[in-house]
Amino acid sequence: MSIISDVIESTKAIIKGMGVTFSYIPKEKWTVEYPDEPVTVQPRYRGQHLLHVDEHGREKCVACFLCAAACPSDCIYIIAADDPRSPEERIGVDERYAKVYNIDYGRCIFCGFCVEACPKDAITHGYNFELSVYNRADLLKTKDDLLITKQKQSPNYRVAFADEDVDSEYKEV
Amino acid sequence: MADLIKVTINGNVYETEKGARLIDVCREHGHAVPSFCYYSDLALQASCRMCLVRIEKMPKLQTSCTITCTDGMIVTTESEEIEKAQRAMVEFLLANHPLDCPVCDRGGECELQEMVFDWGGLEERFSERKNYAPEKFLSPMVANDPQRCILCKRCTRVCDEWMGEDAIEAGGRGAHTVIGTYDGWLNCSECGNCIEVCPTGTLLDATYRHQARPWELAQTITTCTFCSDGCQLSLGARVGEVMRAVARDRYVDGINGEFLCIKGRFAHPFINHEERIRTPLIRYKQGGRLVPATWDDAIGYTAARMRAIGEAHGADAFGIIGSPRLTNEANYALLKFAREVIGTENFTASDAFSLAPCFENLSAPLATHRDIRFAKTIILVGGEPEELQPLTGKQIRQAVRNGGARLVIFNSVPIRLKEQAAQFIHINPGTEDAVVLALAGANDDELAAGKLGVEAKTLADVRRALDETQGDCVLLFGSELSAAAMATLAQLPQLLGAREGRRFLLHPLPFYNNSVGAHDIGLMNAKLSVAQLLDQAGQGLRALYIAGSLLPEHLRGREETLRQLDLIVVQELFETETTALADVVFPAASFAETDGTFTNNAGQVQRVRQSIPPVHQARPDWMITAALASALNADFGFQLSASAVFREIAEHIAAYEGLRYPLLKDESRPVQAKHALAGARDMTGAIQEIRARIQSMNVTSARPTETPKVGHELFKPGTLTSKTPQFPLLYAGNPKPPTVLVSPLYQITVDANLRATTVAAGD
Amino acid sequence: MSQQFLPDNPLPQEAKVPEEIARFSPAVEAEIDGHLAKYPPERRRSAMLPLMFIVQRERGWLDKPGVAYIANRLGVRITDVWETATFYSMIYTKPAGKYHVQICKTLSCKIMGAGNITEHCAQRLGIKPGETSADGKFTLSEVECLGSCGTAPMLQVGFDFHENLTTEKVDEILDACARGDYKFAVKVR
Repeated sequence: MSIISDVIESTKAIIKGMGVTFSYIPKEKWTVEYPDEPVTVQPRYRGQHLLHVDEHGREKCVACFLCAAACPSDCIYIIAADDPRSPEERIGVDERYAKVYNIDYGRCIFCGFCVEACPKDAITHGYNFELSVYNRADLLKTKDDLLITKQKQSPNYRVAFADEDVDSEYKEV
Repeated sequence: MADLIKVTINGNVYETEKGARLIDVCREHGHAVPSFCYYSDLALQASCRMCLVRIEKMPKLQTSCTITCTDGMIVTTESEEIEKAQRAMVEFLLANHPLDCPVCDRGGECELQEMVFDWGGLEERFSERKNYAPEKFLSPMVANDPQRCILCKRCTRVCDEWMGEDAIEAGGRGAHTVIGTYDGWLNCSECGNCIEVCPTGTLLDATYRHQARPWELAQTITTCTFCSDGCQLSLGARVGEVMRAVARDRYVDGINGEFLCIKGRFAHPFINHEERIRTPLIRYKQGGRLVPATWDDAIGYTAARMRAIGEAHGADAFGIIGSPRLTNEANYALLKFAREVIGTENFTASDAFSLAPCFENLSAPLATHRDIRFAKTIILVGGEPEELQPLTGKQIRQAVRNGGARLVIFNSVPIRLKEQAAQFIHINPGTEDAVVLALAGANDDELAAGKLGVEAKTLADVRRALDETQGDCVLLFGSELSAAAMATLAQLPQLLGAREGRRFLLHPLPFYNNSVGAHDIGLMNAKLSVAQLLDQAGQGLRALYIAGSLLPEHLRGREETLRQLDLIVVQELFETETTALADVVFPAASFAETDGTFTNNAGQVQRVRQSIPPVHQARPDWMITAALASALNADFGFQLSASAVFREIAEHIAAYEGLRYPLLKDESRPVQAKHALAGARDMTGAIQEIRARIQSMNVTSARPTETPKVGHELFKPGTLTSKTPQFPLLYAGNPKPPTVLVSPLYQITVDANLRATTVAAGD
Repeated sequence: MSQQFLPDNPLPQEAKVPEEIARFSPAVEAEIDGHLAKYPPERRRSAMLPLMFIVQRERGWLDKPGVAYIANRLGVRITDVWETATFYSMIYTKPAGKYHVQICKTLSCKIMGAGNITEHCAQRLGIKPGETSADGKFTLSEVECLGSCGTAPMLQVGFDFHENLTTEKVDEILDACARGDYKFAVKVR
């Protein structure tokens, strides 16, 4: 091989490679500038759980323990209690409510079985995904962290519209 | 031997006894027949129509629970026709049943839920509105949701046949039938058996209401710690807290079946009560406060004080008092401590009365509760089993009602069991000894009848009934008998002589869960009774080591002399009148936190199993004694294992010979201790003593005529039972609260004063 | 245990009212004895229904002392009396009016328009089935088949049958009752 043919081959390769690079410059960008820009999540995304309330602000959970029973990683802990007050004053929709409702995100695998098991539609997956903490004990989230009325929603996500295809393999750009 | 007949079920031919019930035979051979209302040992109901089978030559489907097997019967339990009928029945049952399983406490162990779940695919065609009635309370113990009822009437039958109370009945008619009481409030013994047998969530435990789910609870089979019947129950615990006690046969299958009384079922909150003693406590100076200390400090302090007293005053300056409430292991450790470490015979147990005369002269085996249920003649002298030994009371009642037994009661009080008695003999108070004299022979009829306040003919009648008995004859006696009378009664089977077809059985009625065990271990046949031992305080006795607390009748009036003692060491769960006198208090573990054995009034040795780890710093009693012994340079050799203690008991106590924990593990086959049977003894001395005692007796014919109120003993708030907040409510007369929709606990407060006045004015 | 919900001021303990037992005149007692004498002593409870009718006649309805009396006389428990009393529509467990209008609601009557009759009565009397009018005159109830299917629809006042009803006929009966000149054909026991 001569030096000249080496130079020619290298130049061709560089031109070919840069051709790909330059061809992408005018196209739409895929990279999300997280956290400067919100991440778009699918409507069915399984993030941090939400405990729901009814139209009067009463907790929907009746502490039936079915979510805890369904949980494969055993990360839900509930203490049920009796609320003998009148329906208007109650904490929950029923006399029976969850005094303590803890989810250990150190163990949760976000499988969604708890949501499937819930007979009262009281627990669903929300979209919060920023669960990193500096202290492992902080992964244990209590009812105050989970209630829809109290959970702080992160500004760093946006939910995709129903007809919006966020990351399909066959996306036409 | 009963005749055997042949029955064909689903094409298989089975041999069975004549008179067997078809549903039982089917189930025995593995042909599952569903049912709700059928409950063996209760009157038949046949209202759920679930146990339908096809019997050849019978025109329609038949309910197998009401059919008695006949020879050559050809039965089909599974076919399209039967399933169609059963599915239709469940559909009807669900027509008014609310779908509130997530809230219902029975969810997870509900028979209706299971049946629907097993079958699956049930269609519900009823679109009409379901009957609605709010969830309410029937008493502080029983919560009731009328909508969930499927009208199997197990509760009403149990209440009637087991408890003889008829407190709960079905009112109304048709689809509007509800289970309830006359004015919506239950005034009964609150046994909660209706809750236990309810197949759905209609009757629920109000103390455990909305607290946990059954599958979350770790079930531990153990023995009840209240009366001497030794019912087997299952403690449901969750993260170190005992949530409930049940006897449901899916968890436990003991001598009591599904029966429990109010104490067994509801009086468990003391286990995790906040007033439990948390650490060892030491009173460093007389009149000072009990100060928390570490275990090492407390054991070291006690050992040093004991050593000093021993050196100064000798071994007989010590008194050791066990308790009929503790396990055999704990009492054995105490006995060993007294004999081997201290070297004294100054030991006893703080029981109300001693069974020693009975066991020394025992001439017939002890009757098990099953024996009582199938006995032919039952003689009850004194005692009040339905309040003090509820299982025995229930067995007697069933023996009469379902087994046709002849019950003879001698009592100065018209107790509730009198309703079942063939003969209720109302005797003068305090003359129970005369009954024994009369039963032993005809010679003293005039004297006995005169003192008893009955006719001599009545006594002859009872003796004739005893004579004519075919089958088992059970003699039960309460605490009222004197030592000589107890000995004579224990010899009565010998005095009356053996006869073909008649078997005598004895059944004492002590008060505490391990009274018999405390006797067996040897604490009760010591040379001194509790009262005698305590009276020595100040005269040679310098130190006391008490496990459990002293009974009020022993303690009252002796507080001042006991305060003079150099050292009082107490092992207790709670601060009591006894710990108020103590210099050192060790926190002991309750029955739910320890392994061991209890011996019940039928002599059955039954396991106590650890359900939760000891709360706070408590330790099992035998472990405390062993630690104290090792601090005094004596090694008991069973530091961490209750089974090692029991092995040593089995080696040293003749009645427990050869027993080991593995042999006791099956609660459905309890093992009876082998109490030595004394042969015929010359009882003339004892009879002479009774005669002299009766002759010198001043009797009054002022007999109580009113049947004592239900629960006058059961509801008494004791150290343990008062920790259940509902007990003071019941003892205060179980008032109906302004609204039954909310737990009475939130509506009525029995203040300390009221409780004190009711206790003082109590029976 | 949700101790947190305990009310601040506990309600006062209710005073226990002693159990009252009804008393009757010697004539009535003799009548009751007559009924009791019909049955063997161990089957005394068979006299439950006649006693209920007598107590009801004397006291208007089965009130607490009345129930206690029956339980006491028959040696049964008050829950047994309650169980029986609630089964029968002609035994009143709450105060009932002088005229008990019972409208049959079973199939034959229903087909022949018992619904309209009930609605009509309810409108006229201003009460719903199961209620008693404020003046204590009328009690309206819907009952199961009274065995007069051939002449449906029908209703019963006291123990009197009124058959082949129309709204006009019902009005006539109710007017007579309201005026107070309704004559019971069958004597109330």
